[in-house]
Amino acid sequence: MINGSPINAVPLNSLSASGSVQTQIISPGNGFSWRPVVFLGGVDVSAKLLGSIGIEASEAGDKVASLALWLGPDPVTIGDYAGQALTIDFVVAGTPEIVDRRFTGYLVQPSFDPVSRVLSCEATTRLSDTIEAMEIEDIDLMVGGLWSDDVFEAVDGRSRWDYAQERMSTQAFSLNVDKAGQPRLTPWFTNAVHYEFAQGSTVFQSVDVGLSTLSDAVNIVELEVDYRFTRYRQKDQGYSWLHPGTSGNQGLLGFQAWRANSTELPDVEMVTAAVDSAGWWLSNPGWYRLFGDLPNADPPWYNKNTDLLLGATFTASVRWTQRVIEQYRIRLEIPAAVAAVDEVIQRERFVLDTDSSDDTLWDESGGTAAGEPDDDPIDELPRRDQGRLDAALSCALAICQVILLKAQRANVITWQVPLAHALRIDLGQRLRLNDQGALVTGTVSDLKEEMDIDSGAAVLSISVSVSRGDAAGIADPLNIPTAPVFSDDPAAAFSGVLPTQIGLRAESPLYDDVLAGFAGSYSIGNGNPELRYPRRFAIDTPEIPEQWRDENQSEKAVVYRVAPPSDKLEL
Amino acid sequence: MSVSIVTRRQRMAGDLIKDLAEALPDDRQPPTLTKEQARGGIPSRRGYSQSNYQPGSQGGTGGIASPLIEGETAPAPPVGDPDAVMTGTPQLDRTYWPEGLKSSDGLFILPAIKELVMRDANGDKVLFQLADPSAVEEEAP
Repeated sequence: MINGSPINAVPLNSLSASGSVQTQIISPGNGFSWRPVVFLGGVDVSAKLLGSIGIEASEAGDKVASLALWLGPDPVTIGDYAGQALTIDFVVAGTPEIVDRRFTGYLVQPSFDPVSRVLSCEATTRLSDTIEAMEIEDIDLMVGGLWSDDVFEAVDGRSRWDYAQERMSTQAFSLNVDKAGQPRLTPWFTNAVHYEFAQGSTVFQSVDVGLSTLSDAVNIVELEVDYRFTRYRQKDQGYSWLHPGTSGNQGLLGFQAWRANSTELPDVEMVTAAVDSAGWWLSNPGWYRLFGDLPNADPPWYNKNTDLLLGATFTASVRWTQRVIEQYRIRLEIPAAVAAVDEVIQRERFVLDTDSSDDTLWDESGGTAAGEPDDDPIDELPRRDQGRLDAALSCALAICQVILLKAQRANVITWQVPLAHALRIDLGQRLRLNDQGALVTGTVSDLKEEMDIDSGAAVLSISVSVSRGDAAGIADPLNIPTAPVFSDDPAAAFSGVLPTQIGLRAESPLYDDVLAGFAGSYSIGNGNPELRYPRRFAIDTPEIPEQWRDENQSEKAVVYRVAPPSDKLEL
Repeated sequence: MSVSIVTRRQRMAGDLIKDLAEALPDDRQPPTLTKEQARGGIPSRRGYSQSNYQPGSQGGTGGIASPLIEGETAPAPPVGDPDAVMTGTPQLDRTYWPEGLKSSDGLFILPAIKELVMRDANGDKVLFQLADPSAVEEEAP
């Protein structure tokens, strides 16, 4: 029994249920006698121990144990030791005995002194080897967090350990190992205090304060995320042409008016060909066709060529692509810390790009939903992908938030306690120190234990990270910002109304080849046949300005407030 | 030696390592987007289509080509040779006025053609629309 409750009665890893944790007071304890029990490769080597056993546990990474064994005068095969399993138990004498597993790992770097015949052992929990051997899905499940291959690199062929670290960088947790050697996550912050060290419970004069340097206490992260993609664009220009001989009338009335003074007319094929030859395409035609047979008209009218036009309305369209960059300029800040020590800025930047090699498929698609039969359907061109951007942004935001939270918990308070009095202290627990003039709360980030066999001292050094937050601080949810809007420069004024010029009359002006629209001649002319106008149809397409086609940027600025938890640090 | 002095020395050693690590140049370059080539605008273009021959206009001269053959079903000129002179067997294709032309004694009524359908050498239909002689007769004093 330690401090009124049996050791290991509560699962050590049940930190997530911190809301229900009852703070247990650790009071000054009595003296105790202890012994270590060490198994190496399944063999009890406790009797061969020399000097002291050290076990170091850091919140990020492996547990490391070091010990020395006297192997005796018999010949030894020293190469066999590396890789052997090592367990260290701490046994407190009493009735009953308390046996506490302190370390489970593997000997990684033995060194042997043939003169003194002492084997110095370094053992670790081989966390990175364990992670490296895991499947990606299992890592995702165990580590959690966020990940995007736009923020990090694609995972194929890369170290799984690095991958796990990348996922860890998005959450306020640490990846380490428990006493049984199993990987686990421990939190940086919990609300409840697990243990309080009361007056007289700690080793006298053992309290040490390690304050963070100001330049490390980042309180602003300036995050830039650029997302470049292709906009598939289309310009539709409406055109209209009406033969002036119709006197502005449509239908039969317009036809009768034209017939009284008939002229050449354009036809459907000419109008379509004119639009095609500009590199645009025609859609939504409204043809005002020359009438077919009208035997009851006065006089009767007979016509087979109903593709001839007295007027037309149509749309001409062109497609092009534009590369655009959405620039997110995000500032995550801790307002109280900025007010206290001024700005300490760290910068992060991530970019997302898309392939533009298929962009010409769109340019050439000319009104059809798909390009050539062998090409990819236009619908499958790489369009703006909100899902991809969301994944990258939320991942980047989480990284920056974690940078701030981490920078504000760099103040470390260390103290020592007799090991037997604090066997259940573990990484990730929140402790309160109320001894030796210090009133401190913080989360356990390092544990070092020293079992000195010669002197009989067994001491645990506990380091807690103290989070420097403002208790009244407000944290904004890390919502994905809305996309910036791209705006086009205004285009030059353009009219789609097409003019007409009719020649072959004495009063007709000379043919104007610049004038768009229809040119032709009167059916019965009295002018010089040499000056006959060509029968032609012409359109001018509007200019697409550079700014609509060159790479364009649009910026979105957002500020998020981050509020680290507030711990006590009174000395 | 006090325990806290040991702890402090360890911590300061750790800080020194961290400071040394930070003094090394950071080889991580912030990612950038490669500069894209400017594409430029699309200039205004002239779309143009010319066809000096208008279908059905006979090159713009118009008129009726001889010979005229009665009947709407008379053969049309061969494709590609509109100037070929067409001949063929005439067929009756005419309508008559119901009253017709009275003989001077009023005993006989001669049929009067109202409309005569012919086809010219180009294959175009030509209509002869004639007046009703009985109406003219009645108007006479």
